[in-house]
Amino acid sequence: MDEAALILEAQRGDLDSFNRLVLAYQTQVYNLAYRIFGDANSAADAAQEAFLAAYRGLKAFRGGSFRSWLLRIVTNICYDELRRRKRRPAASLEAILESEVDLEDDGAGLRTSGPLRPEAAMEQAELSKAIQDCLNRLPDDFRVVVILADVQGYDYAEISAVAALPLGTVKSRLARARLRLRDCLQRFRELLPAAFRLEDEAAP
Amino acid sequence: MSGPSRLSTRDLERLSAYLDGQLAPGEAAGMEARLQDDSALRETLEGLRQTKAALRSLPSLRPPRSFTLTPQMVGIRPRRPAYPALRLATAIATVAFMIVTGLDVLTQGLSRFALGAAAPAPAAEQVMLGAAPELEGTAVEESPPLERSVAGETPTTLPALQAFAEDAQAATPTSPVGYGGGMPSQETQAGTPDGIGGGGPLPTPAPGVGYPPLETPTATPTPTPTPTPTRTPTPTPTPQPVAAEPQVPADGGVSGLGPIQWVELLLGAAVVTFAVFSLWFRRES
Repeated sequence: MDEAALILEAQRGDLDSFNRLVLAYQTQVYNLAYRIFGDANSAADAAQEAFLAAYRGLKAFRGGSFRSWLLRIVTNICYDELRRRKRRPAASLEAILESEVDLEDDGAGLRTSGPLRPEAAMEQAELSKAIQDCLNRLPDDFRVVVILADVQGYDYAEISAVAALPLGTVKSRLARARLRLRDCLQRFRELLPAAFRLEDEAAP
Repeated sequence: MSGPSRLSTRDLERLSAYLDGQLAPGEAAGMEARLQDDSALRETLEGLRQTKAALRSLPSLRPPRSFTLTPQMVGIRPRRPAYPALRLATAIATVAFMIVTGLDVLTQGLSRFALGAAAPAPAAEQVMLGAAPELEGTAVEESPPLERSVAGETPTTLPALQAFAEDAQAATPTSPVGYGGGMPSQETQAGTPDGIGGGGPLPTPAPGVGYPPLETPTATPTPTPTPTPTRTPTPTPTPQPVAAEPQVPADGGVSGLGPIQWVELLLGAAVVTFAVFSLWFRRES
């Protein structure tokens, strides 16, 4: 059954059809939330909440990209949670402590094909941790855009739809987020593979 | 024009868009020309390119669990539990029906033996007849003991009979469900002294004339609600029916139902209702 048919069935209340959509998109939804929060528990909660909200609001979906619609829901849920944490610093501190732990085993859930050498796996984990650390330092608005563009690989139009931003705003936030990340990553340049190394003058 | 080392916001945005191939062809050509001349611009572009590559290298993580929704999560009342509940209700009603029917049979036997030709026995028979007229002959079976009791050979037999009846009653709880299987022997036990006391023709088992056994409905979850068989096959002495026959229709119709027969009726109806609904729900789910 294709996606449109599944959506139609789900809109009629068929939970099985909706769950097939969940299975198709849960990795993307979870990863977006994970990169926004930097911790697995918050990401899982947000993803679950997003799918529940999507099911309940499915009648409001009027065609277009279902993925964009889902990602927008989870993005809004993440924003709400981040705002809530800013109002309640205790929860925020707890999340930071959790994220420290989670980042340690960031490499554990790798989907890389084939086994990595132990050192390579460690380097990958260290690099992932460094990048996530830099992402966490970005303002929320910048972070979401750069995750959608560079971590998830979506094009500007989709980012514009997901983040509910004009195209121009997407471009400018992405550029500034990249520049900040470049500066942040300088501190970890020994971790970066040669291809990523910022001091390398491999310009064309 | 070789720009300053510090990039304007506009140039940064263009550079970032150029990196993504998102500049219009004309703009992209202009940017390429500038990159030829401007090393700072080239350096910034390279920094952005490497940052983008680093971000792209982040692994896609496996979700720690599946986020599929359950009916409980979305507030759908699950339908399936209706079936097991109804099945249980059917079973309980069936067992209750069997127990009540068994007690009914026992009390009828008791009253018949102890009180002689008291009203309840014919009333019960009337119900049986009304519900299943083809069993007329079987109703007859019940009269021999009555006849004999009326004949009231000797009062001394009565205590003995009561004792037997009590024995039979005491025996029932041990096998309420297997009533159909167990009872005939008890009946026979009770019948034997009766036959001895009466001195009449000892009832010979006539399987063909017997009631449709009660077990048939109770074994399946859909027993018929008709309280027809309140007795298990009892030995039928063929000569006596003639004498007994007039007694049966003499009594009232359904109005003659005792409280226990009403309970039987209600329980039987409950069994059928539950069974029908459980079958329906099973097909639905």
